[in-house]
Amino acid sequence: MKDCSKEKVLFYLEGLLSEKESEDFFPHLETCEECQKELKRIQRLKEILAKEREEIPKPNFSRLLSDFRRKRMVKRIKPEKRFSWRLVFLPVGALAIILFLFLFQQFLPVASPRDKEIYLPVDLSYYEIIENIPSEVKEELGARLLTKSDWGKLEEGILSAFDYFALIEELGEKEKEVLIKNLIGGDL
Amino acid sequence: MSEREKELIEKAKDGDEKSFEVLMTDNYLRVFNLAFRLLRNEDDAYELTSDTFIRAYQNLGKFRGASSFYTYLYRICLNLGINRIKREKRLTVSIKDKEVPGVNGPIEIHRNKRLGEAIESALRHLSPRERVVFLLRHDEDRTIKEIAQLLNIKEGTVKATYFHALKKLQWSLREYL
Repeated sequence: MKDCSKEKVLFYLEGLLSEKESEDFFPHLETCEECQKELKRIQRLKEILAKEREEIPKPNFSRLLSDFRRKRMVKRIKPEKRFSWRLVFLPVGALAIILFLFLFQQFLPVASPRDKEIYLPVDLSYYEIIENIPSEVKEELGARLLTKSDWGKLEEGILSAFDYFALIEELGEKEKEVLIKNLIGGDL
Repeated sequence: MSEREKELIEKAKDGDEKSFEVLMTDNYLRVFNLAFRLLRNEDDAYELTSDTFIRAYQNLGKFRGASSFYTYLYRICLNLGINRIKREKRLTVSIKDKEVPGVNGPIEIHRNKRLGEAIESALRHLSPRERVVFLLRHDEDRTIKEIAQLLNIKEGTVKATYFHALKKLQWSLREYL
């Protein structure tokens, strides 16, 4: 018979058929000898298995604990470090702060000698200035230093330190020392 | 999960071994029961139980607390048990003499001993998957859906596997039916 199915008998017994499948199968089950025999065999099997179920011994916790401790020590087992966003953010944050401070420092206004106004003695004349510039420096600086506008500034006795030092930057260290000393009669 | 369990887990994650051992105290009985039903041998069950706790301890960082701690242990024990069954492909017989109520004759005791041995032998002849599905359905009364989720297989596969397991047992134990 087409409705005969050992699988269906088992599923019917176990409640694994849908409601519709059960409703459809039940009339067949009631009338089919083979399916009824199968049903009884399965029921008997389940009874035997249930009755002969192995008794589970009660475990000794001390034995389990010492097994566990021994294995943990021998294999050096530790819990894996759990991922935490704090572990990521803290070092990244610290690095960001350090980087920020470093970059910030670069842009901090530094009192530069270039911003200092240096007052040259007003009573210096062209010639005195020229005379005090070392000859080798004169040659190096050439016409650039001795333009009219530069002399004009020098004559007024006030020269923006920036311009002054921009010119001075052209000189070597030694030459700078000599020039400055000569011009203003001492160290800056 | 209770607040107590959550607190113990958090401490254990931070390396507090005592907290983990308290969790063991709370759960060892159920884990051992499962281990024994899987392997049907006391010594093997002890080993599987301690291996389960070792694995749980090692991977504690990954436990997010979506399920109870026992469910976490259960899955580990089941997976380790299945691997072991596959590896060994054996079922150690552990038979105890049992008195059937109302029957005292030697023949009946012998028959029951034989039946017990026959059941153990029949279970041994199941494939690892059939054995686990049968155990979860028959011993633990799990639904098909639960078994499918635990073993990560389809529900249809669970049903078919269970059917085959019962048919094999039926065949092996036919003289007793």
